[in-house]
Amino acid sequence: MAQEASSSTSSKTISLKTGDGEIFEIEASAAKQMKTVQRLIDDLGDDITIPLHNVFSKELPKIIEYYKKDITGEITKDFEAEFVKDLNDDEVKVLFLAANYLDANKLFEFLSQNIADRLESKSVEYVRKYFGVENDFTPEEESKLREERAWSFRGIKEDE
Amino acid sequence: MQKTNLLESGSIMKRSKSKKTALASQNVYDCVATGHEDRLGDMPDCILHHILSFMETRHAIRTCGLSKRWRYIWTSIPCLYFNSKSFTRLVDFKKFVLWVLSHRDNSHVKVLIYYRFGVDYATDQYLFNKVIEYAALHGVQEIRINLRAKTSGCPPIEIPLPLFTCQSLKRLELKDCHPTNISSPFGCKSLDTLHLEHFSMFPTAADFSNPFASLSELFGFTTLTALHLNNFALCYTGMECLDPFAKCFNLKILQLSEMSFKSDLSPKDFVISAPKLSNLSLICNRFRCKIVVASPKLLNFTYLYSTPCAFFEYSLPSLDGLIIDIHELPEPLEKSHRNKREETLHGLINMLRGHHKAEAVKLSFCTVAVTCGAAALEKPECLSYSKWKSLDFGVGSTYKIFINKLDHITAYFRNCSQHVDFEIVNI
Repeated sequence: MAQEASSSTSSKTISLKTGDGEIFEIEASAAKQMKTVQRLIDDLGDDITIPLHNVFSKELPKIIEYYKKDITGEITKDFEAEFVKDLNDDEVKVLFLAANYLDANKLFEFLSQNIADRLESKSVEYVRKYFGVENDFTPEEESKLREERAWSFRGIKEDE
Repeated sequence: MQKTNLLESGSIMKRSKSKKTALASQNVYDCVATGHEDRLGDMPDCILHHILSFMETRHAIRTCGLSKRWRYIWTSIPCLYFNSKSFTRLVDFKKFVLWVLSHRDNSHVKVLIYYRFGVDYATDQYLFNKVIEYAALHGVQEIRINLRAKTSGCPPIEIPLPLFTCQSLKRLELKDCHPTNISSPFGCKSLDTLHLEHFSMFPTAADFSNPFASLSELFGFTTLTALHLNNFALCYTGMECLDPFAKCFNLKILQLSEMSFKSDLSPKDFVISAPKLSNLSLICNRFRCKIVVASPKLLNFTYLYSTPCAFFEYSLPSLDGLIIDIHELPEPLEKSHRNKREETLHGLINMLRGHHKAEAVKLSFCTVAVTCGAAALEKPECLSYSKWKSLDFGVGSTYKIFINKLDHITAYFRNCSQHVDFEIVNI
């Protein structure tokens, strides 16, 4: 494991290279919050540009923005609301998958909640598309299931 | 096929390694093209569970219709979130809850959320019992309950015994419960965090020399590391000062908000002296007694008040980087309040006088007015042994400040320090 030589690690930056070849800088303390990145730093050293095959230039800046706020302890509910306000469902999904790959726990938790909130009121068809699930029920099976569910879900105010 | 590889990757929650190997076998350009098309549905069950566990159970269950694979995924979501708000009739809510409990598989329940709203204020005791019993049997760690009950005029509610005997329960939140079983034979033995809101203390069972005694027994104050109490009307008939948290040996975080003592039944001194307490917040309480902050390890003290009736005294042996944050809710300045504000500031200065070992003290005020009664500015000789090097003195700019008085205060503090390079940082 490469040792971090510098004693002033708080101001050190790490270079990250996305899957589509762009390079971004983050603070070492922010990199610590992304366990995958930290593992790569431990293996490869902190002077090398860390390759992130599965994260791309579209989403990495947003993730960096989040962790910039996190290391100064400024993440509030308001900040989180703003953070996702203009993102559509697919953009949140991409961020979520990236947070999972990077093992960035705080962001992963927050985005899990956000995805849950977004999907709560959506139709089954929409959720299928979102999760990329193929409907492999036969029409008979599906209507039987719907019947079963209707009984157990009687009295719920909203329709799906 | 990529799908099978990822599905077989086992129960590792974050499987970055397996993802790398799966992609390594693909053309690098494919990576670029397909990177964004990773389908959420390819994730292992535990990640899907994770997302579903943030939803109300009735929504999470709808995923049973997505595909065959998804038919039973919902049955092992480690979270049960029941909210009666979305059911037109409570009888339907009951049927739904019982159906879920009987169709779920036997896996762990990590979190139980039970919110019972509705025009009808009566809680179904049978249903409540069933839910708590089920959760306790399945190793629940966190329970959040809101029964929206009223203090009076409601049928009696009992908190089911399994909640108290549950060994796995670590975090408990009870709002608007008003239970009748204050004299439960058992109390929680391993709670870490307790949050009680609007919880009435029944007079028949209450011990007036310590209004917190029954809470302490029921919820095990000695094991708690965090305690939040909100909206309690307490009665105290003792003659001594009240020191309810002295035996909270593990308590690090304490928040008291919207608390008050009934009419004249308040102690002379309300002492807060938990031995390991590091964060104390007092928010919008209506105490008319003196508050003595005597927690030796205190690091952060936040005081937000709406009616400044309290007078502080601090009894802290040593201060090492204590941050005091005093806020007032914006309210029109009333003459009757002015005296009380002087008392608050007086109390603050008393504290600083006692803690000459601190090297750096950070005070931030966000008050309508910073006033300094004559009585408050004692002769600085008392502080001749003060080691203060700096005082970070922040004054909120959104409110009106009496500038001349501010000079008094800064001059006072400047006199208090021995150090030539004593710095007052004004924000």
